Amino acid sequence: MSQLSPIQIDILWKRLVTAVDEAATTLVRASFSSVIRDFHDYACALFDRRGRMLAQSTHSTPGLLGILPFTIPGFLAHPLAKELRPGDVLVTNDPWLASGHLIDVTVATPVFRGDEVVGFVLSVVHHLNMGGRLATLASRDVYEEGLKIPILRLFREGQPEEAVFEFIRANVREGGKVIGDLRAQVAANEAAARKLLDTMELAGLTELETLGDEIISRSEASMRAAIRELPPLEVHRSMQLRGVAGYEEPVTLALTVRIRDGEVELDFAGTSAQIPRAVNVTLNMTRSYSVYPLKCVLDPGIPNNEGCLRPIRILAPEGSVLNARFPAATWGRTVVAHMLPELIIQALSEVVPGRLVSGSGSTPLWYGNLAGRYRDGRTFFAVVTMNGGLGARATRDGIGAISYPANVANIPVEVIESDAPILFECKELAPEAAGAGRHRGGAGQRIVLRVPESAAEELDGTIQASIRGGRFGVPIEGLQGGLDGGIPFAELNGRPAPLGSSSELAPGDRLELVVPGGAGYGPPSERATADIERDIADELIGEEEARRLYGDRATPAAAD
Amino acid sequence: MRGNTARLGCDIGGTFTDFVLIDGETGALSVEKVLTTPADPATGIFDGVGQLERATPGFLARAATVIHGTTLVINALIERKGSRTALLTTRGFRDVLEMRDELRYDVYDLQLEFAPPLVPRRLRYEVGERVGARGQVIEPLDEAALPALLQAIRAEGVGALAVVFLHAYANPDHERRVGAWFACHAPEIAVSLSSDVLPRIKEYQRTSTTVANAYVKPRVAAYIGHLEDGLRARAFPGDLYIMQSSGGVIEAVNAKAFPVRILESGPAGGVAASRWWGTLAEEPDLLCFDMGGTTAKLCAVVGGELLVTDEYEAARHQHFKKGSGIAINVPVLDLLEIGTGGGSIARIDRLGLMKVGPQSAGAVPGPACYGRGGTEPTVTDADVVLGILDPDHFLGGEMRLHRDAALAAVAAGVGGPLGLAVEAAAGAIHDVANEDMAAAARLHLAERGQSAEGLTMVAYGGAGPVHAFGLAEKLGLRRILVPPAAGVMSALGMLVANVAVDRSRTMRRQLAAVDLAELSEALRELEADAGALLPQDQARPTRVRRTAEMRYAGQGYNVLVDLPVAADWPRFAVEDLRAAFEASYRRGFGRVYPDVAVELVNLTVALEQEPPEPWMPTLLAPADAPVETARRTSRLVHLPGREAAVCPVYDRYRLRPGHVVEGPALVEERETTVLVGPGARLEVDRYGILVITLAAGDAR
Repeated sequence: MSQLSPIQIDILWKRLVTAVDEAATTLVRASFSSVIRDFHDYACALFDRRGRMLAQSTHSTPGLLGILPFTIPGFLAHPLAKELRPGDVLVTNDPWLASGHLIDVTVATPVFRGDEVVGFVLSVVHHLNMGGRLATLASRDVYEEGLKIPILRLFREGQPEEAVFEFIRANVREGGKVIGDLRAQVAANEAAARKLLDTMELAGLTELETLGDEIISRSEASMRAAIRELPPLEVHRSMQLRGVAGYEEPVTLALTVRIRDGEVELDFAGTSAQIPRAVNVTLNMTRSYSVYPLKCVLDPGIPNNEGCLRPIRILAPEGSVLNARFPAATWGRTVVAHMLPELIIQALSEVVPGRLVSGSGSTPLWYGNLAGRYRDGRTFFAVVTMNGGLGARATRDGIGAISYPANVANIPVEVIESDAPILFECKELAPEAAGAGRHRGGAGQRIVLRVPESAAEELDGTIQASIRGGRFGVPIEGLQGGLDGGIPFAELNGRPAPLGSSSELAPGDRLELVVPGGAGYGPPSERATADIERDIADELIGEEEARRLYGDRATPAAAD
Repeated sequence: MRGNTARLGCDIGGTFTDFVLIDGETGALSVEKVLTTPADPATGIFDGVGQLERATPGFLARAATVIHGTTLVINALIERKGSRTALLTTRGFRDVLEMRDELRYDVYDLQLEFAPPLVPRRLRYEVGERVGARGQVIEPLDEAALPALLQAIRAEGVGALAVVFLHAYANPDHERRVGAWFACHAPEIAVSLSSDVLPRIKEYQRTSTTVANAYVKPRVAAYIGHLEDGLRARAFPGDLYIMQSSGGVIEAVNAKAFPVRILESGPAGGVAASRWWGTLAEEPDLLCFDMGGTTAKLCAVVGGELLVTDEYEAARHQHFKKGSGIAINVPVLDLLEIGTGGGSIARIDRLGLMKVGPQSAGAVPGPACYGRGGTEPTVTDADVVLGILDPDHFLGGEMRLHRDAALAAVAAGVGGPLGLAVEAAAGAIHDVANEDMAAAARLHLAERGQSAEGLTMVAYGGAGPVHAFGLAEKLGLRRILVPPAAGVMSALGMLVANVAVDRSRTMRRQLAAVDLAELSEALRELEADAGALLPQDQARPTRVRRTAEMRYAGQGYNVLVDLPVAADWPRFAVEDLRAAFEASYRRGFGRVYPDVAVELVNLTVALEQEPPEPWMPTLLAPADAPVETARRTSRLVHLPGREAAVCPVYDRYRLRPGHVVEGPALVEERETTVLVGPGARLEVDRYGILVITLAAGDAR
């Protein structure tokens, strides 16, 4: 292929993105894994034959952002990659090669044009189950966490490798559904591959590298240009997490940001060593939540591809909690990884003041499982999600009860109550748990749920509740003088409840959780009087509290 | 009666209010357009009726029906011009409305924002009551709290109240008691109950839909009342119907109760008309394509059925982004709307690539060629530069376009930066606009488990027939229909749409626990409730469709499964339910899972009646002169990616059945220009539909 015109590049690029978006759509529709649907924890991506990522599905979780570009190169380094035949499909869930914990399974399909590989498509799905312990941060190593699938052929020349399927089926809960979702991944890859070949055919392309060079170099140039607008910088920040999953030693996340010559270096030297709890982050996952805030702040509009990442260098000491070594346990790595966007944005606060977001109450992810059994033998499993407030932005207030940095949908109360013998007393905004400021943080969220006494008639034993969340002592920090967000709150029957480990709920038990609000931005003294009055009118803040935070100018609001 | 009645369809659009009158006496169809009067839209209607009366004296006095589509509801939501509305919820849940689904609609935009909820927090009240997931009462309704509530909302000047209690879909009793109490003690407050508006599981969607209904209810009731009075004063003896978002019409009285169901009535009219033309042309599988000045709308019709969705969002906050609007989960035609229109601006972005839209030049200043001060190149400017649009023949020559301004804008905005000749730059704009629409259409169809393959395009709207050929090529479509009277498609659609009502409710059960007698009773109730919404005074054949939404336990997407009508019920067993589900599932996904449990989620009964006197267009006399007699002129047209060619230009109003035009060619009519691309062949059918067949070949 000779040269492509800018118009051809634009059209072909869009077609690659549409191809992976279309495949992802089918995958989401057909999936049993509710985490695909409600957590957007899936991706489809497309690569050229050298393993450079050219397109990624649009609505995927940021948690896969930095992982995907490194996954096909990981496959390519494996001996199986040397002997690929049309119809072959590869699979792995190795946290170090692919996406950081066993429950994410990656399926990769080489795309053949005749006898020649022209590229690769892959899909990643957070599955329903991968064996091992149920949703716990207590695991000491990866062996406790379930089945590990090394790089294997899932299909050989179009025929399923039944032994691999049977091995997986034998080691996971809900095997039928897990195998169903694996097959859906294979089908999604086929669909994306077909679209890719159609696109190449129509455009008369015999290879993808020419187009890939354009996509990557233009994206890279755009990111570099955005970085060049920043002044040179070398700044150090750190945060310390205490009591992570009951682990006694504090965990330090240390960061040095260096910006120069159109490049950003994030160096996590000084970060604590990995710990014997399921919160360790593999380097790929560290890349994801490091690249994510940079992309948001610097160049949000460009569809993700390898070029966007090139000007960003990420260094994390091997064996640290941000570059954990095998066989670290990694199931709940978001406990640590979700703190990175906050840490990075704090570090950048002097150079991109207009584009910041203060600390958020929904960071890191709050999430709960309720599992148990009825007397008639039926089992139930309900997922409870709850998000705190988004931090205030440089130019506007935060948003109440919204997911960040993940993007996790709320599971309706009516659905949870239909699925499990649980009753919610409330699910409401907790505005008092947000930080004041020129712009205030978004309101937090209060949830009270109880096991009704009447459940005793149908429940066999107790309900196993695993609730994850909390800030591990890290304040939700306001920027530029904004006040901090609130403090997480968890009580079981009026006594402090541990977060991150599992508890037994019996009929009559009552669990109250407050996911904090976001932090403020800018000093409260600079908040516009009209905004204070609106908050009073909206019953987000009491008059007395308003006077305490903002001074006497806060007057009772007239009806609007 | 037949032969002596008239029927009037009337659609209020942003700029024009369109009328289509069918005179039963003569079979004639007359068309009228007046300027829309936004301050009081009914004024425009009365203006148009007056003009039609001058041409057809006394038509209104013998009109059986007036069928109306209006943008009132959608505008009230977008412009926030509804009533001051309060919300009453179960204690502990007043913030459900504001917390939405807790998702960010754009993961990379940290500056995102939502429009404030329609009911501010201070007007969201709570009351003691609680119903459980199986409909059991856990806490009785605290009726004694209602007088104080009434006092509070009266003091706030509230005109509408939405009542949404948890699990009211399973047991509406508490909501109904509140409704009855208010009807008795405060009849001036318009109350909407969630168990009436949307008796379905998922509290956010039900709350948002019920609140939107309450918010617009007083306004819509006043408007429809005003319209009825005005028509009666002009001697109209018949029935007023309103077009719903689902593509069917309902009696005005029901539109007043459920105004949220009429919010997309204009676009629905266009799709209903497309289906009608498709039926006449014997094309049941369609892709309706309506492209105007600021947006393009696409909607599939499969097997002659309008496809509806109940996952709709109104008033999206930003650039049509999914998740940024007001969730409204009543049946709406499954329409894709994207920000590509004639006014979309082409710019070079930071990657050095060209993007078309979503910024639009709108009507003011409009495209550069309008000569109203616009300087940035738009899609319409590109179409002028390419020679597809004739500057002297726009809107039938009423509006002169400035070709020089178009050339200058395209050259400066795109040609220069990309180093392209102006025609090539214009071709790129045209092509990229088509590509954007094609990409959106592919995704939209894929999300519904469909593909474009085998669909026939129906093109309308000012820019639709201009871009239909390029879009059809990209999607691999073989045929395009350009129906007559495309300038009043929506108004015509009102006249050919069926009367359609439906009732739906959640009945969530594992298949193993389904009691067929209970299911049958639920369907019977739904059918009775729906029947009560049909016009009572005229017994007409009614088509009954009973459906269940089902899924594999654990999946999030429901599959629609047809259930037998009541008469066939005795022969139906639970195993048949599973078999019917598996057949639907296999059609959508190509496989089934025998070892996974199936569950029932929602039930719907839909009733449809055909209009009393379906309109048939007059058959046109076959051509008695060669096609050259319809040729007006010819001009040089630059088509994207092809050699420039001198194309014949035909006058649509002189084309007759039997005429054949080989592409490349143009056909001009008052509101639009039809591009017949190279290799395509246009035939005029007996109804005057232009049927364009594309050359066989792959999608481009």
